[in-house]
Amino acid sequence: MPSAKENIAHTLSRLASTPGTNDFFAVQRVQSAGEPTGWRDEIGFERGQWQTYARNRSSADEGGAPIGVWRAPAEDWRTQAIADALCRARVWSYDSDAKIEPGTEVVNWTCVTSQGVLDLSAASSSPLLRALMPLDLELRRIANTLEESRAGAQMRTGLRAQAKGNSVVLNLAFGNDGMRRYILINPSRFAGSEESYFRVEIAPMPEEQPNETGYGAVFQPVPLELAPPGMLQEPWQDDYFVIGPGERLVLPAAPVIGPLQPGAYLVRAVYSNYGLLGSIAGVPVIRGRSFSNEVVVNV
Amino acid sequence: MNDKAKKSAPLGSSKSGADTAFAKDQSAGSPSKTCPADKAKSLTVEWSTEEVYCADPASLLGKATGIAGSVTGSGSVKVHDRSVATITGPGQSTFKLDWKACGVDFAPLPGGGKMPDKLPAVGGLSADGMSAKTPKGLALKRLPDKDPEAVSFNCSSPKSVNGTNDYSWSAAFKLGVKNATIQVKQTLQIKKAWLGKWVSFDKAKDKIDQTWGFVKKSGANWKYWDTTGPAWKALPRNVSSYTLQNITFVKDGTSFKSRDDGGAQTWPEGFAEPKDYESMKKKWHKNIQDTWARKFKIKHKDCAGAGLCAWDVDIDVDWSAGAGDKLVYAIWAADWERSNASDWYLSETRLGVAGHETGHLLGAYDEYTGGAIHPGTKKIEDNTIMGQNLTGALPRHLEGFRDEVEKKIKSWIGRSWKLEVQKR
Repeated sequence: MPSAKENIAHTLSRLASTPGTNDFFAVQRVQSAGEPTGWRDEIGFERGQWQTYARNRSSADEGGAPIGVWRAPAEDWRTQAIADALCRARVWSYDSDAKIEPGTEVVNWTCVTSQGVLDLSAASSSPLLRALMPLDLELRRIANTLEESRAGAQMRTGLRAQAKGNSVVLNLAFGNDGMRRYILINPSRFAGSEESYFRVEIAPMPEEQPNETGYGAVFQPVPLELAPPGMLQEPWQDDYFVIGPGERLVLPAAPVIGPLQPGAYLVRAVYSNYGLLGSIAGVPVIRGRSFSNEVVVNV
Repeated sequence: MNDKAKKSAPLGSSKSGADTAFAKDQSAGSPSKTCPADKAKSLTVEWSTEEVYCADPASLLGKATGIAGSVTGSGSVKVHDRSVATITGPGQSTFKLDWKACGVDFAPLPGGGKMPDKLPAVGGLSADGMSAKTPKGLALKRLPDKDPEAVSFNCSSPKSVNGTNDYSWSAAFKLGVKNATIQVKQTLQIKKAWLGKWVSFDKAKDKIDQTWGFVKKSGANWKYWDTTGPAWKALPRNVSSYTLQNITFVKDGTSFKSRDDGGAQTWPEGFAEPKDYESMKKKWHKNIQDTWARKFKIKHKDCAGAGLCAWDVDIDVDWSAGAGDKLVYAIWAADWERSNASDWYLSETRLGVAGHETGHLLGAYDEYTGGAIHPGTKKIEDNTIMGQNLTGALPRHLEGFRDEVEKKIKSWIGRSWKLEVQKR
């Protein structure tokens, strides 16, 4: 009698070559890291339903990458492409890493066919990550497609920084690059948690040594006055911001940081919300940490 | 012993040592006090057993003559002349008054602070106008001193409970007893490691004939290691378009080899030497000590009495370059990274992480959503060392540890005690 793994292998092979109209197929990849609050990057595909993506933290904490949730009807041709990647990786022949300790960066792949469930987990640095590269590449294409087509609630923290004498004048905004409305918790309503804040961070430009991977920028938070009390207009007096597709919410003030020592700096803004509220009336509440683009400023 | 000195001394005090104290305090016993005119009446009492640990039963067994009918016998238990219990029960020619060893505080002997190993409990019985004392004290024995012994147990939190992953880890430390204190020693072997990153390339989009490559950040931009160059080159797309993976390296001579796959990968250049290695070790150690060191006691669930039924728990965690109870990597990273139970990032700014990870190594579960939460209680609480805000340690975090103490006590003295952890 064939084992469950053999059954799944057989089904995946069929899906990779000639998928039947009614063959069920779903796959998900979740990469999570850090404790207690960390990164979570979740890509899903369910045949006949949705292809989805969720990212709660700007990749590598930089680059202005948006965070949010995306989804679009599943493109059926991906069934064959993903199943082929699963077959090329021979995903059924692997076992999960034996011991995954709390907080370890981990990638969890799950695959469901009508023949059963396949569940595989790999810790950071695991050789499994390289073995399953073909699958990851296919799934990353889903994420990129969703993001590029703006098929979701796509929150971006915007920053413009301009040197003025030995100070830097900032313009800050929250934008929705996606096609779906989202809710943002007003950062001035955060209850002083270490994990929930809106702030600007600055770092001296790191110096590189030849032939050495050296320290990156060491960012320090800068005290940020959103605006004098009473000056904030709607919606800055509300608990929540509702930001629609293509909208930007600009901070009604231009905070200044400085005076600074002469030199080159990297400046970034960070919106961080690790509260538990995930949606209001079905509208997604943006959770996680959004880093703005890093702006180089010469003072 | 001088009566005045005896009254002011703490229980267990002695000038010459624990066992001597016990011997000197043994009651010589007293003849029953009877009415001189009534020679037919007498009363004697003795303990049913010679020595007890916490919660063990001991009975005062009385024998009487000349009591006309059933009367209520009144018993007392005294340690160093201090009453620790009164018990009553009916009897006529015999009495049996049951007591459970409890409620007795051990105190350090003067000079040096050593705890006596045992204390003498003198029993008294009064009935029908007569009274008697046990000729020999009952030895109340504290938990004996034990050299630290290795303890290791597995913890797990299944994906079906936490919704994230099948987590498992080992708690490991040494457990002993000294001077009526539970001693926990945890030696963390610490090694240096370095964090690199890699991405896989999408040939169609990246136009790179390389399936994957190491990447690093350079100023505000990302570069990849072009193996054909070989040289660092600008990453073709924004880094957020890639699946970014971590890879940990250890130093091997002058090169850096991947730690988790038998050194199959070599980082293409050197890494900076961690400049804050020693200072972070000190900060982590302080946080661990502040969180765990002398915060708790453990006691018999149904009894009280310092030394007899309750013990302070001293947790001492320290580093070692050599073998230890647990291997921890202090990892250099170019940028801020989050730590986990085994990999502690030197760039981690939240010192509470050290106390948090030590909690895991003592058997505590996460208390934040998505973490390795307790499979039974599923407890989530922000303001604890195991929760989101990395604050204080709580007794429940030592429940796994408590279970191991129960097992050790069973193996040491054969008692199956149910214990509970409390804050000191």
